[in-house]
Amino acid sequence: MAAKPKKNPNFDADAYYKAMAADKAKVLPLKDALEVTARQRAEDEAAGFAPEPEEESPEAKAE
Amino acid sequence: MKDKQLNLFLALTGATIIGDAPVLGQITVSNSAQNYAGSLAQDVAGYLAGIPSDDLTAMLDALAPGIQTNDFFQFAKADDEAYLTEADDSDIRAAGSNFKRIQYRGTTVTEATQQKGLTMRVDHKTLPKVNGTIVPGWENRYAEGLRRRLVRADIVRALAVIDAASTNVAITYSASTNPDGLLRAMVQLTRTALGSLADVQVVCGNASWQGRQDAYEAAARVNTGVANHSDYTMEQLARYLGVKRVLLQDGIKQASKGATKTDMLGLVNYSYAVTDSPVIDDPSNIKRCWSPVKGGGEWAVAIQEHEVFTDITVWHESKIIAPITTGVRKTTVTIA
Repeated sequence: MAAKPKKNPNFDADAYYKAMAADKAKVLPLKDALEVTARQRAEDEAAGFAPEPEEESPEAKAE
Repeated sequence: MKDKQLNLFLALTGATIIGDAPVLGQITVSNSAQNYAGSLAQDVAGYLAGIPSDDLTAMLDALAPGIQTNDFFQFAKADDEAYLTEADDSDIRAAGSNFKRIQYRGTTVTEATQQKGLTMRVDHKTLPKVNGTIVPGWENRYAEGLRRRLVRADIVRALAVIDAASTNVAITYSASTNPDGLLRAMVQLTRTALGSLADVQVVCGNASWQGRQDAYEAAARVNTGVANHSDYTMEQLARYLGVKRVLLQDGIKQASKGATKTDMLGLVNYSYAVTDSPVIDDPSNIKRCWSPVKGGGEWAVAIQEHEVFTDITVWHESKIIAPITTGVRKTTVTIA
């Protein structure tokens, strides 16, 4: 099914999801960005893992 | 249109007839030297509106169907009350009483379309001439090029809105996983959130599609009868998933001169609902609200002629919004 859960003891969930919400708020109204992030966080926590920060996209690496 | 009326029409739009009177069917451009600067080129805009839909426009319309609105508009954003069901017999009216009164509440949202356009300077020296006269029809080609570039920008924008509105699950494509089964799981989550699969579509990034085919063709795959999925067309995959359609977003974008060309969409898939001819209150997850430009229609062209070059501007007004975010699902793919 989903990828193996990764547990990162140094993972700062609040900071991670705050950054995610800020990112979404660039294209969505703030209320929606917060709602979607809250939904994502609830799902991630129910799945039992704390996701590691995303790797840099190839675009960002090229820049 | 009879010739007499064509002259009148051109006079009303500010076009100047230079030389012979135009023949019906010939594109004529208003000469800004005779009129105000930046004359609105109705006929070129008409040309843009009349050309057959190309792949880019079709892709944008499929990703985010358009709906005409005013430039400032208000709508009620639905809460999740669409599937409220009277499972307690409260819809039965007792003798002497009223029917149950219900209300669909929602939050009122005000939006505005954004005016988006590009200007290009065309040097007269680069235009083909016959006997010293510039061959007509060149404005249409450049306007069409500008229009395609604007549509590409809107496709990138639509994908960004879909991505921001989505909830993600990470999946792996390999010889030991069933990629289409994982897509089916994603689609089922959309169904649970929205209530039906009737208007749901799946968008696959190019790398994700390639990864899917590679996983099914892998020599290491144990034969469980799904290897034929590698040959699935988008229609067959849509049938298997139970959705309206599957879109393969295999576009390329380039952010600046000399930069690497990148996929518009890579190792991701989305599923969400869209109605192909949306109205302001239908439950699509993504809508592209466009407002008519000066002169009516979706696209406008302005031409400013100078002595040795001409500036062509193409613009449109639209806003891509996600009125409902529930049900927009994403899967991020790792190839193993």
